[in-house]
Amino acid sequence: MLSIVGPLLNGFAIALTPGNFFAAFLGVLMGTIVGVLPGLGPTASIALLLPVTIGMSPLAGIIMLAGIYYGAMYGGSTTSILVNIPGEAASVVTCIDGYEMAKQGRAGPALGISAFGSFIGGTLSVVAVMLISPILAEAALKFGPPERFALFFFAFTLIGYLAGRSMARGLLMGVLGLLLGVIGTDDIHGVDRFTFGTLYLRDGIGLVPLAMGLFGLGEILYNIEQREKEVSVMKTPKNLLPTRKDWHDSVGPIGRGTLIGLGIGVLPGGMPAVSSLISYAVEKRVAKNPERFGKGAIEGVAGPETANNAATAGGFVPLLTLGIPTNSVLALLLAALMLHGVTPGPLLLFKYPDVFWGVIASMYIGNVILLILNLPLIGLFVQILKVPYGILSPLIIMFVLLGAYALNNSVIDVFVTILFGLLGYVIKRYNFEPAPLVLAFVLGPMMETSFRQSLIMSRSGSIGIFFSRPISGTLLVIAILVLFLPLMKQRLKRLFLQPKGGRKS
Amino acid sequence: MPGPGAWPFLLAIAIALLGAWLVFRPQPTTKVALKGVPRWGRLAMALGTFFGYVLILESLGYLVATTLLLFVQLYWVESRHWASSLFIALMGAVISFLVFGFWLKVPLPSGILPFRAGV
Repeated sequence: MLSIVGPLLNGFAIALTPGNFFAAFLGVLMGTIVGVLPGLGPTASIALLLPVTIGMSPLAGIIMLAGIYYGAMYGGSTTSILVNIPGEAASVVTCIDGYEMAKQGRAGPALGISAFGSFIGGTLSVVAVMLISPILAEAALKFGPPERFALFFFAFTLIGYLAGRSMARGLLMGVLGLLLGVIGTDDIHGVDRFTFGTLYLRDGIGLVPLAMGLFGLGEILYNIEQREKEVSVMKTPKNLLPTRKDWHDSVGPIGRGTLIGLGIGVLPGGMPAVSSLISYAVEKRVAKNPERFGKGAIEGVAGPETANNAATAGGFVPLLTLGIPTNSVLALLLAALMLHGVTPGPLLLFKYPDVFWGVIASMYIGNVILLILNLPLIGLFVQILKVPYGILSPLIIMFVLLGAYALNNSVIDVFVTILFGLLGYVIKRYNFEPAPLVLAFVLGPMMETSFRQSLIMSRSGSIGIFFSRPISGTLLVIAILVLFLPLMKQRLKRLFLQPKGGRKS
Repeated sequence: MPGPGAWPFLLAIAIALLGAWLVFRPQPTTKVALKGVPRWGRLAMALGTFFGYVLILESLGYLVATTLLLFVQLYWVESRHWASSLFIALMGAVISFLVFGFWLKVPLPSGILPFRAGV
């Protein structure tokens, strides 16, 4: 316990230097705005600002990008409550009871409790991140290629499982991402693969054009093709403080939300959106009178809003200690770290303690700034929503294309971004999820390298090496169980539920 | 020993199996949810503008190309009034040129105009 106090204080000293403090402030401010705006999510905005951070110090860059991420979770709830349009995927469930509360004239307490819940969930999670990370990093240091491959494979199956309602669809997107990750010069033999003789593809497809296309342009194209409904903004409430009764009702949901968010957040594929959905379902189940849900129950706002912030912070554990991004935003943060020459993984904590503790400390500071920003300034942020979507969308397009160009000053990057925009549109249009694709794209090269290194280690090239080592064997068996979970579920249901005649799914 | 082709080969098998699975065992969410009438025309126009932007960005320069991109988006795709479209397009292009070209020093292509960014 004592051993983390020193480094943490040091982290605060680093995070409070004017440059880093300003980076955190700028990050959470932009995050809030991005969160409020529907159609521009944290993934696309971080991709957009990634090139901008090149000129900053690595730490300030990461602090700013991380700030955008958790700041967006605060902003997302505002739009959900006041306009009934989720600014962020993670705030979809907040619409249900949050907007109901707003219609009943209780928008103030709804906004207030989500800001407080976000703050509590966010900060408690950071404490947990701080406590878990060193232990996990220590353990991961002993991993060899087979263990690493098993871990990546386990992460990959979880991503497919948690991404959407259909595992096959999630996995399909994942494998597509792995395949896209193959493009370029092969790490071990130095052979060009799928480059079609072009120089551009030898370095592989860039993560930034891919993410900006899929999440930024894809969303825009989808909205252009499907008419976006006009936004009518509720009046900004004056009193944001929840009453004593509101607090009484929210304490349980906030506590459970923190635990749920943290648990989901550390799992690969455990996106904040998943945690808020689960939190809502749990609150509805434990409530004494669940029929209030959907009619403006404050528990349905407090729980999910806490959970998505806790999950946001939780995701930093696997990112910083194992080098595994658990969602697409963290994949971009991974890219940002690498861009600055910092390789995330078990060594990060020991090689770059300033980066680790500085980012952790900045997250405490950022959460405080967000609480201060959000309570009095909500009215100001809501004004952004009055800009018609017809003006906003061309401007977002401009920023995305400009950001793509600014990365390497290359028109080809812009072209690639547009191609992925088209792919993103098709994916969304046909009910697939882009997130597993992006995650697998990042995991792919690491996964392949550890796979091949393991087989080289085994000398005979047999896959037995993965199963004969205890850690990798266990992880792989769990992963395979996860893969067949949907199939087994159907079997089990048929076995046990048939007599009742209930054919639910 | 696995060569450079082994991994893509395994992935190809996986994607083929998953694809076959989706074809023969349609999942509950396979049905495409159509919300209203699709506006293919606008979609095609938006995409066309994007690709056009790539073609003219370096020859005409950032300011001209971006003004055109914004104007086409605002006037045709979003069907706004031509005057407000022109105004927003000019403002958007000029402000982003100043911020990215001068403040963040991105060497944006100057094209036919004499302004040089990124220095």
